[in-house]
Amino acid sequence: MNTLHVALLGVLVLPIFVGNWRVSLVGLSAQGLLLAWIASRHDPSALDHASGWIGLVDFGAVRGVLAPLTMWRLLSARQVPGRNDVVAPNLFSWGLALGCVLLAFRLAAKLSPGASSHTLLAVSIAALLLGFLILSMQSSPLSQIIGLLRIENAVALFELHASAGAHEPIGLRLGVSLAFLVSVGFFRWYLARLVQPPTGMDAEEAVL
Amino acid sequence: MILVLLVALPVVVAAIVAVARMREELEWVLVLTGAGVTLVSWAVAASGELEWAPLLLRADAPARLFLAFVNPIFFGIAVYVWGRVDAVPALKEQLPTFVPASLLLLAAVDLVFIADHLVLAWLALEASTFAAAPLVIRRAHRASLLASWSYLVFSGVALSLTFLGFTLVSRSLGAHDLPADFSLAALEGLATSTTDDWGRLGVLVLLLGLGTKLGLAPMYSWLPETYDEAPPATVALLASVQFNASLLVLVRVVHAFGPAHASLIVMVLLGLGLASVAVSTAGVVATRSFKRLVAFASINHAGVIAIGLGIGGEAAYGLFLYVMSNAFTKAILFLTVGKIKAHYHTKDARQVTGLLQNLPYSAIFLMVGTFALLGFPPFGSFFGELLILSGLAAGEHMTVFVVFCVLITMTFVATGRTIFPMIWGEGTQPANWPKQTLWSSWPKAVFFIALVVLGLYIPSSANELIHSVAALVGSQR
Repeated sequence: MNTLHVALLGVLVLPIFVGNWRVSLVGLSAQGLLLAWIASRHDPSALDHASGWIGLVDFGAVRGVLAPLTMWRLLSARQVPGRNDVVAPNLFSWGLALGCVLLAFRLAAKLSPGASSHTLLAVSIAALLLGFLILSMQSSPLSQIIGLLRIENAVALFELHASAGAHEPIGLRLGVSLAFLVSVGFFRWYLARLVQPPTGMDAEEAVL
Repeated sequence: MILVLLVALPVVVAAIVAVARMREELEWVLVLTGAGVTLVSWAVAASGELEWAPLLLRADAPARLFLAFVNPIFFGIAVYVWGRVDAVPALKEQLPTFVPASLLLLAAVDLVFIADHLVLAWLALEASTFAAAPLVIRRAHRASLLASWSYLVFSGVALSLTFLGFTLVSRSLGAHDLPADFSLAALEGLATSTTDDWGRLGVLVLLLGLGTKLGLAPMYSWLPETYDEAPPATVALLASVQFNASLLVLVRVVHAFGPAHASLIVMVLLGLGLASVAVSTAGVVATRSFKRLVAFASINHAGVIAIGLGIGGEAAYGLFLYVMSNAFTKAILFLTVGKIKAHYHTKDARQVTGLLQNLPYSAIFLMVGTFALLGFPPFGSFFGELLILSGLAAGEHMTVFVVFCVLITMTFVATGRTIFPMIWGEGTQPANWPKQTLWSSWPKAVFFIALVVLGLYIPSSANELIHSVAALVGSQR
C-alpha cells in the first residue's frame, strides 16, 4: 500500500470522528494537497501537457488552499461555533463510516483484481461513499458543502485512476476546473447567507 | 457561424446588461433577445445538419428539434415577464438580476443542445445550473433561499455523478486501449466496447446522475421544494427550458450506449420512471397546495419520459411528442398557478374558489393545462402517452404497464379533486382585482395553440424532424 494513499485515507476518515468545522476544512485542504501530490507521482508524463498543469493547480491551489481557506475565513469572521458534526456523533454513524471504507476495499478488489492501482481505486470509492454518507446524514449547509467537496475530490481521484497516460483536451480540463472554482464561489455565497441569515427575511412580496 | 450566434447573442446581451448596470427597459431587452434567439433557432432547425468547429458544435436532428420548441418557450416566458412588469411596475427592481441570469441560462441550454461533445454538454449543463440558482431566490424570503440551496446541492450531486459516469466509461475504454473520446461521432463507435464492469457501472452512474438532474426518484426531493418556492417565471424556465437540456443529454447517452447496454438501460430507466410516477402520485394525493401539485406532476412527467426512453422502439415517436407537449403544458401551468397565487396570496387549493368569475383567463388556462397534464385529447400529451403505453404493452412489460395505469388513474382522480373545485367552485372572495385582458395572457394562449397543434396536425417539416429523432433513439433497442 502506497504511503500517499494511506495518508489520503487518513485525511478522509479522521475528520469524520471529530465534530469541528476547522478539522473538516483542514481535512479538505489535506485532501486537495495530497491529490496534487498523487497526480504528479501517478502520471508524471501528464505534466508534459498544459492540461496536466491545470489539473495540478486545480488540486493543489484551488481544492487544497482556496476552497477551504475561503470557508475558514468566512466562518471565522462570523464567529461560528467550532462544533459541527459531519455525521451524527454515535457508534452507528461511525460504524457506517468504517463500513464504507471496508466496502470500498472489497469493491476495488472485485473491480481491479491484482491491479497496481488497486489502493488508489479503493481510496477513491471510500472518498465517494463517505461524501455521500455526510450528505445523507446532515442538513446543515456547512456539512453539505463539506460532503459535496468530498464528492468532487472523490471524482477527481477516479479521474486520476482512469486517465493514466491519457490527456484531456486543454479546453475541457480548463472548463472542468473553472466549474469547480465557480461552485466554490457559489458555496461561499450561500454559506454567508445561510449560516447567519440577514434580518427581515420572509416578508411577502410580488414576484416575477 | 449561426450556431455560435445562438450562444453568443444572449451571452453578449447579458454581459452588456450586467456591465453597464442597465436598469431601464430591461423587459424589452429580454423580449427582443428572446425573439432574436428564437428566430436564429428556427433558422438552424430549418437548415438541416450544421457544424461549427468539428467536434465542438453541431446541430443534428435532436438538437434542431429541441432548439425549435425550447427557444420559443423562453420567448413566451420573456413576454410573460414583460406583462408582469407592466402590470406591477415595482417588479422592475428584480429585472437587473433576472434578465442577465435568465439570458445566461438560455445560452447554456442552447449550448447543451448543440454541443458535439458530451463533456462540453455537461459543462453547459453546469453553467445553466449556476445561472438558474440565483433565479430561484425571492428577495427577503428565507424559504426560497433554502430551496435555491437545495437545488444547487442536488444539481451538484447530479452533475458530479454524471462526470463520474464519464470517468468510469473512460476507464472502460482505457482497458481496451481505446481513447476516452466523448465527442458524439466518436462515441457511437467506441461505446460498443464498454461492455465490461467499468462500462456497465459508468452507464448506471450516468443514468442516475442525469435522472437526478431531471427530478427522477430516488433523488427527487429538491424538485417540489424548488418549484414550490421559486417565482413562476423561474419555475417555467426550469421546468420547460432547463429540463429539456438535461433530457437531451440523457437521450444522447441512451443513444450512444443503447446498443451495448440495452438491457441495463431498459431496466434502470423503467425502474427510475416507475418509482418517480409512484412518488409523484403519493405527492399529488397528499398535497393541498396547487403549486406543489403541479410540481409533483412534473416528477410524474419526468417518470413517463424515462419509461418512454427506456422502452424506445415504436414508442420513441410518442416520447418526443410527449416531451414537447410536456414543455408547453408546464409553461402554461406554472405561469398560471403563479398568477393565481399572486392574486389570492395563498397556495392552499381549498382557499381558492370561483376562478372562472374572479380570474377567467387564468381559470381557462388552468383548466386546459390540467386536461393536457392528465393526458386528455386532443392534446399532444394524449397521443404521446398512448404511444408510450402501447410501447409498454408491445414490449411485454405488462407488469410495468398495469402498475403505471393504476398510478396514472390515481393521479387523475387526485388532481381533479384538488384543481376542479378551484375553477368551478363558488367565488368566496371579493373580486376587486384589475380586469384580466386576453393580451396579458397571450404567451399562454400561444402555448395552448402549440399543444393543440401537436395533438391534431403537426406541420410536415416538424413531423419529419420528430420522426428522424425518434428513429435515431428508437432504433437502438
